Amino acid sequence: MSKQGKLSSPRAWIVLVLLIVLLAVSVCYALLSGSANIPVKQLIGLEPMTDEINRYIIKEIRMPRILLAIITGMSLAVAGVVMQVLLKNPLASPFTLGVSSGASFGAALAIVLGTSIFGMDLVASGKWLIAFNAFFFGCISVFIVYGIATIKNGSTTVLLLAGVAIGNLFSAGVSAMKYFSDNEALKNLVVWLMGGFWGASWEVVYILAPLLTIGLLILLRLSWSFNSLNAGDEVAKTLGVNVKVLKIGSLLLVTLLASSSIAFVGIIGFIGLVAPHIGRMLVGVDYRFLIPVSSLLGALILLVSDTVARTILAPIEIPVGIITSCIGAPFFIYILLQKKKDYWG
Amino acid sequence: MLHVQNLSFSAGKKQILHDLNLTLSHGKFVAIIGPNGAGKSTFLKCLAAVTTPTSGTISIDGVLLNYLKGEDRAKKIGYVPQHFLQSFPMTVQEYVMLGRKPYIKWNVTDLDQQVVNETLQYLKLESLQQNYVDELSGGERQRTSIARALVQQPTILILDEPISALDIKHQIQVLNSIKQLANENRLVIVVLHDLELASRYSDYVVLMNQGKIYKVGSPSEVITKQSLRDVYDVHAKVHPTEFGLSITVIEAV
Repeated sequence: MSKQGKLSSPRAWIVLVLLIVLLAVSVCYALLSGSANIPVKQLIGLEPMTDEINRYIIKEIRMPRILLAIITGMSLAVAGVVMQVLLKNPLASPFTLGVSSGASFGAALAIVLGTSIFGMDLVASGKWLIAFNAFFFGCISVFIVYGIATIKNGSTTVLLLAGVAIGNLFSAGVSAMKYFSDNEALKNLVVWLMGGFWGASWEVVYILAPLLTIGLLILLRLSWSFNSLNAGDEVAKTLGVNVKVLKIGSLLLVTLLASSSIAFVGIIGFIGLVAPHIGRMLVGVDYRFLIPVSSLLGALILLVSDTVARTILAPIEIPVGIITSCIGAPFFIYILLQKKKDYWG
Repeated sequence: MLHVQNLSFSAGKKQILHDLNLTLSHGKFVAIIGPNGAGKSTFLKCLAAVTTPTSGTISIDGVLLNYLKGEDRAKKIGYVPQHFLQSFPMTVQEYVMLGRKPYIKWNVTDLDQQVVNETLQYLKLESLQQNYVDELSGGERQRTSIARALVQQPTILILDEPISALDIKHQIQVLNSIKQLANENRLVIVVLHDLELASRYSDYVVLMNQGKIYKVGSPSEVITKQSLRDVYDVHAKVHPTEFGLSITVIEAV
């Protein structure tokens, strides 16, 4: 029997291990770099950390920020990779389905009008209000888009076009908010829209980390169903997959993951699109590997981008969304031109 | 034994299948024939549980189809759709392995691998297993699709127009493969448009017209001058030959 044909190739495992190592290295580097210079020996515990401020910077500033970047990168990437197989379209991502634009609108509403959808202050702190609104409108956006596509017999073209339409509608809403807002609100809004990890805290990590862990475990459990979906809905049905439940359930789950991250960090483009494509080039279409590989890639790209964003012009920070787009867009064009295999069907 | 009882299907207000009744036994090659819009593909999709009938029942060896869990059903019925679909490029090996989905929990076991390898060998695909499916010829792709259904190890294999996109050489190759599968005590149900090939390969022919079963029987019983006139609206001459029936259409009625 040909060993060559073994499906779970060692290559996928090598890629997985390599990505974990790379991510660990990036975490160490990110912990060390920044405006404050903290000696390596102190960081790894060879020397006692005498300076209270250094201890605070590592524990309360850099650690949560690094973790939030990893969680967000993973959430956006896993949302992208699942949306692409559910909608059978390489262009699907939280961005193209309108999650981001819906979330932007929700955040704008909270920042500018200081109100949530119910017109009342749900949580005293403004940050929570922004997050809740972003999440809520992100979900609304996906369900409108998905609803329109369902009416038109689940056509993926309709779905993406509806995503564009709803995206534009919410963008117009955001523009209107910008136009009518005062200086302070406008600045807050623009900064939020650019995306960044300034707001990172352990509190946010404690909310998002369990959500991501549970979400990832469920999605991994569904790997073979996603694999079957790659051969079309009809074949997936005859393989015993409940296609309708799978589609709605997992779309809901990844929308939850993506929009809850976006809610706290703002709009960060390209991760949800680029990470799955690089993942597919590295390990192929087996979702048992593609899900972890894509999410690790998302985490890696976002963490590196954020580290660059806060160190390149230190002590000034650039919004991370600018860096991801600056790295992401040229890289994406490069793989479009270089691809040996047509990965977009 | 496949038993269909009072099966009807409607899409919206339009009734597509009317009260179908049919019993088929294992080890047979059954061709479903009929003009366009007769309901052949819909009937096949109901049998494969791709669509749910509006009313009526389908049972396999006495067990009702809708009482079976999806995975258990997949171990009994393999379905090859008319069009080959894939969203993202897969190799032949990866594509065929999908058919083991009902058996796989997480890891691909040695048994799964063995079944896939044997099936690839059986359908002469082993040299292509690392090729991407979209690089294959029409015939190879069709065999890959059949291989995917076969590794489900079903007792019933359902194929929707498996030779419609193939040249005559590949048509014969694919039909020979399918015939051999029927000889191995599977029930093989195939929608065919080519009546001569249907008569040559099948043990039974189900002739459908306007959502109803017009006639069931051996090819020479079903494909007659009269039935061609009634169902297809053509005058035709039908002669038995060494390889099935020879059908010459003279004119449309």
